[in-house]
Amino acid sequence: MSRFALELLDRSHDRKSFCSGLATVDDYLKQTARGHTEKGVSLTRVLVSADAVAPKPILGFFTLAPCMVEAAGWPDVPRGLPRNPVGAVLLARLAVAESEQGKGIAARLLALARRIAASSLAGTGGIGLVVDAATESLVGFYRRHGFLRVSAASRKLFLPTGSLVADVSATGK
Amino acid sequence: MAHAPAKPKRGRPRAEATMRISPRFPVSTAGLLERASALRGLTVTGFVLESAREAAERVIAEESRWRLDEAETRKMLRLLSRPPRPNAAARRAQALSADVEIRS
Repeated sequence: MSRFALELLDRSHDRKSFCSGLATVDDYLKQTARGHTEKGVSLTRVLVSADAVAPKPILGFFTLAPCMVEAAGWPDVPRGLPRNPVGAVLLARLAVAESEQGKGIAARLLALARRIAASSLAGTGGIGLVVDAATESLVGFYRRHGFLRVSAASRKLFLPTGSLVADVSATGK
Repeated sequence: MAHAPAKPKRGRPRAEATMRISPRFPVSTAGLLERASALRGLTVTGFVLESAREAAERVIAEESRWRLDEAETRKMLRLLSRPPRPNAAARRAQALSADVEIRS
């Protein structure tokens, strides 16, 4: 029996009570996330208790969206990266409810986001998963999980498609 | 399946709340706005609103585009040619997430 469930955000989830401590992220979940998910602009998934009933408390959530990576503004782009923008997946947001922090929820959410990004990239192509960390301490979180900083100037981190999911077949799945 | 009669919604129908902001424009800008809105057949408010919306949407669209400079592109190419294996923390997180049922 699973302890948690991951679901696409819908009206059965209690968005109003969600508080991560970062107002911009909370406002996004309350005001924008469901509309975007319904229209397919981006998809927000929420982690809830497996046996929760509506209105289900949201333990944490993440939002994935398509994005483009582009080598622009300079001549002689080296071979290997096309001159045209290439597709990737953007982990636009990931947050855990304040009351649930320190229980491994963020780690679970990140692992789930990687798995879903990996299967979507396997279906359509794309170079990897991009994340724009909201704060410097979150940069640390993503780096601990293997995300790579491409430039010191921005808080964007990257993980190539081939680095998203460990091959679990070796350990018997 | 029989359709239940639609339940009337309680309370007043919800219209989006509006807020008055009255920016002061330099006369030249105000004249420009008036002419442009007349050309589009819009009120000045309508014109400003639509233009601001378009600008906001452009900013949001930019968020989904990552422009790499030369050094970043070289770094990116190195990463792509030899993607690292998931590290210990990532493997632990993956194992931890086994107690999550992915419903949708």
